[in-house]
Amino acid sequence: MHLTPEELAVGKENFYAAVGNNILWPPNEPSRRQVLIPRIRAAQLDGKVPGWDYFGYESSVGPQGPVRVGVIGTGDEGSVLIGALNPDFIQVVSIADIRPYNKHRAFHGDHYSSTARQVRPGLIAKYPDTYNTIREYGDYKQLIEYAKVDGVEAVIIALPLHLHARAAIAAMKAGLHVLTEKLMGHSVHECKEMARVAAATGKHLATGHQRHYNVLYDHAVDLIRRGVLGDLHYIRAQWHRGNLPGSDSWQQPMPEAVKPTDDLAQVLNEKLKAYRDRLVRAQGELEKAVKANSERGKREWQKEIDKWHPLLAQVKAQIKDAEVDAERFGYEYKPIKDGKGNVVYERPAIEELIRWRLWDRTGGGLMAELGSHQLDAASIFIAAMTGEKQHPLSVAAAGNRPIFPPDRDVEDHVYSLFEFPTPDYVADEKDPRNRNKIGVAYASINGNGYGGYGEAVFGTRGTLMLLRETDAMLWRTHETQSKIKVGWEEVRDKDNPKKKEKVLGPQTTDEGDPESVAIGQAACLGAGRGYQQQLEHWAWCIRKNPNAEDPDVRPRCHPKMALGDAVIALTTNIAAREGRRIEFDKRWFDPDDDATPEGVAPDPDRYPG
Amino acid sequence: MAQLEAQIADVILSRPAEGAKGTLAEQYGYLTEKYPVPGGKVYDRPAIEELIRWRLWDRTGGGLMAELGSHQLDAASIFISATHPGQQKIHPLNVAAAANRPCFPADRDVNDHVFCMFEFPAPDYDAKDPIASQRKIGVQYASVNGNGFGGYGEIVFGTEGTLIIEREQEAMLMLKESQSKLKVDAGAALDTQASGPAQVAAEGPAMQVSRGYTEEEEHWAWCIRQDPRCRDPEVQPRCHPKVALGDAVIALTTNAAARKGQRLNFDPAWFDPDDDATPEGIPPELDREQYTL
Repeated sequence: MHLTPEELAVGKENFYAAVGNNILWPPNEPSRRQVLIPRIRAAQLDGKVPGWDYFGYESSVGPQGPVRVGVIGTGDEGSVLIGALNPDFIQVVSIADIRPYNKHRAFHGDHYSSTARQVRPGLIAKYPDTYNTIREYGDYKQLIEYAKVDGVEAVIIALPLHLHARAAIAAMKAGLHVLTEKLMGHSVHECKEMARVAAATGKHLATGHQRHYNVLYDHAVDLIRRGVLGDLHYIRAQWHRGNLPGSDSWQQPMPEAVKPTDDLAQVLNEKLKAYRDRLVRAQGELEKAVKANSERGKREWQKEIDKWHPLLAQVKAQIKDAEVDAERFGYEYKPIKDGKGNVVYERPAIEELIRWRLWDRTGGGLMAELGSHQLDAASIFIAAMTGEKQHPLSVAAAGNRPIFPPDRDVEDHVYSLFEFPTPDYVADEKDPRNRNKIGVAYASINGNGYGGYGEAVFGTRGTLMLLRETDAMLWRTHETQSKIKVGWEEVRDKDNPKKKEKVLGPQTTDEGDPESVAIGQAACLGAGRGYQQQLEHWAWCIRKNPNAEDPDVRPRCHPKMALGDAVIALTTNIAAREGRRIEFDKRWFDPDDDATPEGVAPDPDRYPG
Repeated sequence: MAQLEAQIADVILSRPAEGAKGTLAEQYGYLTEKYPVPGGKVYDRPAIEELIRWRLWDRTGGGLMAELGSHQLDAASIFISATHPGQQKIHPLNVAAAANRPCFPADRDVNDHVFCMFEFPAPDYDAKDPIASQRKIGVQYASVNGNGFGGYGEIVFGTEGTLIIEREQEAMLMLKESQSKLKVDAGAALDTQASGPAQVAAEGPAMQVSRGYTEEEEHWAWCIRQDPRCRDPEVQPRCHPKVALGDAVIALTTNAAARKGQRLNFDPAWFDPDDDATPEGIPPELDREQYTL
């Protein structure tokens, strides 16, 4: 459906009205305002709500000071994590990446756009006093080998997916705590190996499904838990991106020196020329301004130099990736053939490295990169009804590639359909309650970004929508133009329609609920996507519970949680590629059980110590 | 008052039939059943209920896919066919589906939620080629009860634009780059029912987009007058038997996929009225007893 800006604005106001309403809190609990108002006061001082208060940690890691961390893999996501670091919780002491481009961005940030600069500011901006002490490594193994010498206590891993398990396990065996980017691992048996090594070594192993630390999701879960949506019966989620051939965010340009035939190689050359020309011109104009003693000219042209210099340095570093001996690091050449056996595309090893998300051996496709986050969110929403994380019962899926040419393994469209149990579900097929299931429909597509990304949660009394992790909306089911106030109403009992019960729910009103809106809005002030809070909490857990002995002091996306997300994403890939509906085996979700959807048993001993 | 009295007068169908066993409804072939419900109880369904609420029972109805989904998959097939050369209606390659009943108690056979996904061939699809076999168009469909958020409609995603049709009444075209919106809005519809003509809000614009009911009936009548012996293939209703068979194959195979918990590949023979293959495995038999008066 198409929602107008007015409907979205009403939805946001309704969400705040529900978050800020005191009626939701029963008398035996502290009132909502008792809980929210201190947070709001803290937010007014800091510009955003305090993550530590929402997610059960403290505002400091204590007298031992920040956790000393090595960052392994500083590409697109690794640099986002660097940007989200709070220096009061984490001190970066080393980085590792085999690509010159990624090393450059780790320190200098990403200057290609103002948004990129904001989310990837770089270590120089993040640690202005200590960045020049940060050690640089190429191979991640070196960083781990020198971890003790460098005083590293923990590592953040944002390598290509196929390396998550081996790097995380090597790190944990070397005595380091780990936070790895999602997806946890490339296969379920690898995820189980990671979980088992974490348990055996007593290390915290967190996985970067950041919605666990998003304040909006936290409020959304609370509203579901308190029954505002009624019975949850359907979730629709999507991630639509407008990528097309020639402009695909997963298909970065190849340097001409390693792939002269690459359609995008000239993009880098053109950028290099344009930035160089502009810098040279600015330098020339600055010289003239100096000679003319023009203060205004000096200021303006220095500003231009400051603008073009980092861009030129960045594109030079990107082109320098051509120097990487990718085969030495295990990347492979691959020809793609058509039905007649003709080679229609050749992939050098370095392309597998630079565009690792596009290849089955190194990545996990749309479900691993995007869908896993949203199915994680769906599981959290469904869990809010029952109190514990719910695993799906079945998945059917389809994956295809109508948009892109054969320059990749992965699909550009994936559709999937899950069934989760409702709280009153009964597994016995003869029992009518066997049909009490919650459907979750998901689509991740390229070629058209209409609708963007988000999740819509359908309940019998309300509809909740989360968009782009940054906006939350609530309506009384389909009444998208109506303001609401949460209040008591009478509903019929599902199994006994003659019986009525009083429940809380969103009720439409002309004037809305301005007072609750004000409180709710303030309680969500500056709510981010959760990257900073997940890093802070992980560091706090390391300080508070260094041997991971206390099960109550652990990252929210701990190994068992992250394993569940990986099982969903990877089983969906199997369902799509094999064209069959798959019923989930509970044992797949248990790190200690050898069963996996791919049929390969975990073997943590295959990794060198 | 007259309408309500007439509705209540349906009770006559629950009374004993003259000179026959059972009720009048049973005489017309409707059945009395008992359904187990949680707690060891049963739900009694008299034969008259099977008649009055026929959409709720497998023996008399086809559930959400037959009543609602068939229209929208028909529309999807028409949209996809428009991307292919020629006039031929394009059929899906496969379907996966799930159906369940989280909202309603065990007072019906049918599910209150149906979800399904189809793969249709794109124009350059070739099942035998490893690359061209990936050229497929996905269609996702959901029909749910319990929450009407989003209403009903179809969204068509293209590389240059997005087409949205809501409630058969409003069409919107979003152009990809400009984000400008072309809205073809011919009336504020306040339709609260699944069938019947659109209702135009009293304060809305006078012009009304027809949902096609009148035109469908007019065209059918015109075909009868113009080509009473059905000899001219150019003079036939737009939803002629082969087209309608295609829609039925999609809806009923989806029901089968949901019930069996399997992804099903469509057999092109199912779409051919002259071929005996059917998804349910029962060949057509034109001389069956039920078809005689």
